[in-house]
Amino acid sequence: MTIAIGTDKGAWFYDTDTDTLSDPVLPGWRVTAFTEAADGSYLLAVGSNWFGASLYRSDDLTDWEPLLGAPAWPEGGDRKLNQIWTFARSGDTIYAGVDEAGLFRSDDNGATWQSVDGINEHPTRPGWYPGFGGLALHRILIDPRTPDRLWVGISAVGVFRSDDGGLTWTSKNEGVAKTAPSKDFDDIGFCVHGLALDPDDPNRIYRQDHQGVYRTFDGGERWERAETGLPGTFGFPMVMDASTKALFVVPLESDERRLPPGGRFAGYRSTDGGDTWSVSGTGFPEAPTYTQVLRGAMAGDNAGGVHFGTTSGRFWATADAGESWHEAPWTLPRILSVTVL
Amino acid sequence: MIVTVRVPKLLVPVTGTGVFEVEAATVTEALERMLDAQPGLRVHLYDETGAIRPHVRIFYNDDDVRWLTSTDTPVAEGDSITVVQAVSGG
Repeated sequence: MTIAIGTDKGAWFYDTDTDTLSDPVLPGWRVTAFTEAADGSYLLAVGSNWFGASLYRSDDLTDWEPLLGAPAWPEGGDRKLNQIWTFARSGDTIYAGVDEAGLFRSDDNGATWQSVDGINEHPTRPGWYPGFGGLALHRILIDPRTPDRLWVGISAVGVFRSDDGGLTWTSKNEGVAKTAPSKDFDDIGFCVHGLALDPDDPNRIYRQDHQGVYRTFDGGERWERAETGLPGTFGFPMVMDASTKALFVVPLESDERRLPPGGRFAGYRSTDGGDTWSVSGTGFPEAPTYTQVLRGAMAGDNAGGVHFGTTSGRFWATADAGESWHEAPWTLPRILSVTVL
Repeated sequence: MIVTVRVPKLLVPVTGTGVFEVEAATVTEALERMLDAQPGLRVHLYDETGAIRPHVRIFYNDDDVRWLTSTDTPVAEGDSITVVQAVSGG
């Protein structure tokens, strides 16, 4: 299995079978997202404070060619493509979530991209304002049984669901605390960070927000808090291992501090669908460790493997759904994205 | 006239080379030919408004093209266009 790791200064590929780490790919570029296309090629998104964001393609994860096609806002407009945050794929369709917040789709393995106007021109858009991390559409969920049913997460705006392949979207945040209330729109202002969907029951979705951890059993119609046992309710990633239904988060102490409570850095796991949480198994450091895991930097393989990278460039993995964790011996730049390929 | 174009190391994965040549009569044409020769550069040098990105500087010989009163200036054999990753922050 290959784990793609995107950092502030390039990408690396970790082969779990041989326990080897590749040489850096595109060193110096911020690497923000990866996906495998339907044709078996791989896409990689880069960004730069100087040179903007774009895409690369590879057939072998070694040689990467720049793509001319990429998600883009219309030339001459006032929206800018600051970063490609995430990909999600269903069949031949790849979705990309970007900052400034938008959703794009490609039906030709990433060669060309079309704006999903139903969300990009949503009636509430005039009320969308950036959070600390920007105005980003950073999470995409696809119902594996009904691919026309989609959810997106937009920072400081909230979760939206489409039941018609992206034509129309409805805010789905009832029960969630507002972080950034809008003067003009009542159904936005929810700062979602992480989302995870149960592929065997896509109505069950779990959510790490700016101000809490939540779950829904009805596809987002109603959310309830699910944070008993967590030492902090702030955090970024939310991942499910589908083979065991175990959920994983990395709690931080408050919006203002964004540090592991008391320096006790650990992944937390829930094995009861979010009813309760506790430190996940063994292996996390006894020594004070003040680091964090960003929203795109944790991924599971749905077979008991969960992997995450920290802002201090360390990499952790479990192969037994969180019973035991192992820290890789190498250190990378600030880790932004982790993807199981 | 043949104009030499140089790009910074970070953009070599886009262009495949740090130095290439274009044929042009004016600075404007040299910039256009640069993008014709390397279309992948456009998104990295210009934003959606068509402006040069804030932390990118493009020099015609020793002059930042932002500072030229006109880019219709005729170029001479041996002139250069140099893309620079601006020093931004500490």
